Amino acid sequence: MKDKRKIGKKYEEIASQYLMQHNWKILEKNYTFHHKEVDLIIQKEDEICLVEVKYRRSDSFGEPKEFVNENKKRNIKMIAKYYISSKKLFDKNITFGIISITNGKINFERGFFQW
Amino acid sequence: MVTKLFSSSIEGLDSRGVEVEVDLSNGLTAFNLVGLPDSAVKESKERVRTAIQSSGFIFPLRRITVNLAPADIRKEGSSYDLPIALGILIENGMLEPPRKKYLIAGELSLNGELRKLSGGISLALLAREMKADGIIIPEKNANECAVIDGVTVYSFESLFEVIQFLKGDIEKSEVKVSYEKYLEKLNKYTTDFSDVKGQYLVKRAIEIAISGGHNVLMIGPPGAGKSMLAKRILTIMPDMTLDEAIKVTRIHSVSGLVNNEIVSERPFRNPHSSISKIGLLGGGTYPRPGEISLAHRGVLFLDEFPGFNKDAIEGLREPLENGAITISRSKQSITFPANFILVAAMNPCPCGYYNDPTHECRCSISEIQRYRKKISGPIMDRIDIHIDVQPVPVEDLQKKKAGENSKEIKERIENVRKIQRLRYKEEQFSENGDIADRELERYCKVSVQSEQLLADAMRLYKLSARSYKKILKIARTIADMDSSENIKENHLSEALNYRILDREI
Repeated sequence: MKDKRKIGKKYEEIASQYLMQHNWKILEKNYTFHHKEVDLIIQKEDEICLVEVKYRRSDSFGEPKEFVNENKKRNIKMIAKYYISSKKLFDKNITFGIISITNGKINFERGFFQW
Repeated sequence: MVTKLFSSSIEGLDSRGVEVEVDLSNGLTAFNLVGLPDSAVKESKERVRTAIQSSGFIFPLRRITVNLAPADIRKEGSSYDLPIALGILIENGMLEPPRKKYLIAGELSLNGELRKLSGGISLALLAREMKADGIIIPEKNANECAVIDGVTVYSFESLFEVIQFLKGDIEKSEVKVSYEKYLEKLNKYTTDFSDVKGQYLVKRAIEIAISGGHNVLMIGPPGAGKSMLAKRILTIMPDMTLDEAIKVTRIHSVSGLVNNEIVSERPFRNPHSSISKIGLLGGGTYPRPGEISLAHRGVLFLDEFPGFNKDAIEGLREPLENGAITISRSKQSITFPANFILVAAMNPCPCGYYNDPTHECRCSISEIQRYRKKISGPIMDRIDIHIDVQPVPVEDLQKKKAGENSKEIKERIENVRKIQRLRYKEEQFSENGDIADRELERYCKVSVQSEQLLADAMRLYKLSARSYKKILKIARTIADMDSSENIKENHLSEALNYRILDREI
């Protein structure tokens, strides 16, 4: 378990490097609320994106994004609600994104799921 | 800014204008659809998203709100896909709002193609009423809508094509179709009246029925040719006028039976006796037309009449009398037209050979009574012509000379219909079978001798008041077939002949 946490940490770092290169501002890393966590919260102009970072060694068993289950999505939604109200972000456009890392490729997709 | 586009919803047979409002705003990304949509409309979210993406456009990551107004009428079906998709693209700045007022409808497939919608012709009629500048519809509904005069029809294969059209990148000429083109395609049947050997009396009765729009009941043993004759009625039906064709197409279109063309052939509906009451008469929580409405301006053929559900048969009373059926449900009440010629066929008894010259009937009196009781008196009374079909004698069967063919009969019928149309041009009705009670005396004048004959028959056969009227109407048709201005005694006695079973049952 400890090992997995380490791997996750490593790829979350890679992901934030990638996003910064693409002009996203990192607002939060591993933002937690009530034991629920979202990996990254980023901003560009009017848009705030809650990002889940998912690493898979190979995509033989499906793309990384397929391994984000409903429970995780529900958690992210809940954090989104809390984050909006605590930071008063009502006029911002809130999206949900995913960074899939597999075979050394990084793929960022916004609008991964919707409310 | 809110984008507003126009579409329609079906209510019974009529279309009602619906405004599709689309708004994009900041906030949690979501796609909300409001305005009393049913599940097919709600599902349009998924179709619209994928169709926009596969047409090469970006689906906005914003908070999308779609409102279908007025919000208090229920929206069903999938025809809102296209206006919703266009509204989203306009809101997202990928497309200019259309400068003209178009009525837009169409279902999207996932790859952005447009699919057929039901009720296209009602949409075109609404566009004319609203004085819209045009309608934007799927290619597969083009011909159906284009027969309506005064409506500019633009039809498209895909969402992408619609976008190009609205941008002005491609020119699209309006679809034009002439009704005459359809009539030319008609009159090609594989069956013909001359296929039926013998049965001259029955053929005559059918000709009278079709000429004047009367209902017929054929009673006869199995194999006598009842069904065979009924199936050939289609080949002698007079052509429909454009006005009639539009009305019939509306009913068929709402039921989703129209395949990219106007219904130009008179309907011949032949439901099986296992049909439910609602299937026959129409109904459902949100009323839909039944077989009797689909047979509007055509023929409803009910083979093995007593085999039908008793409730279904009794439900025919109102439409047989009024030419329409009103379906009332808690949410709405809708009147569907149902002016059809009823052609029913039955055996005289369960074994089928009662009164047959060649076979012995094996049924007991009580069995026969039970069988006949399935058709109640009031229904019998509403059927104008009762005809006894006897088996074909072997001499007739072996006759080489074919009888009259359908074309000749049809020509005669067209003539008789023309006489009637001319006579009733200022009336609500156009057929002898539908003469209003108040006008009966005016149009069905009989001489003093004929009146005496009728009075005698009434007393002898104990005919009902409705029978009396029906006899006059049939006599009127027979006189018209004879090109006679007045109803003569021989016309009347022939008409009387067709009510003879009133006495027997």
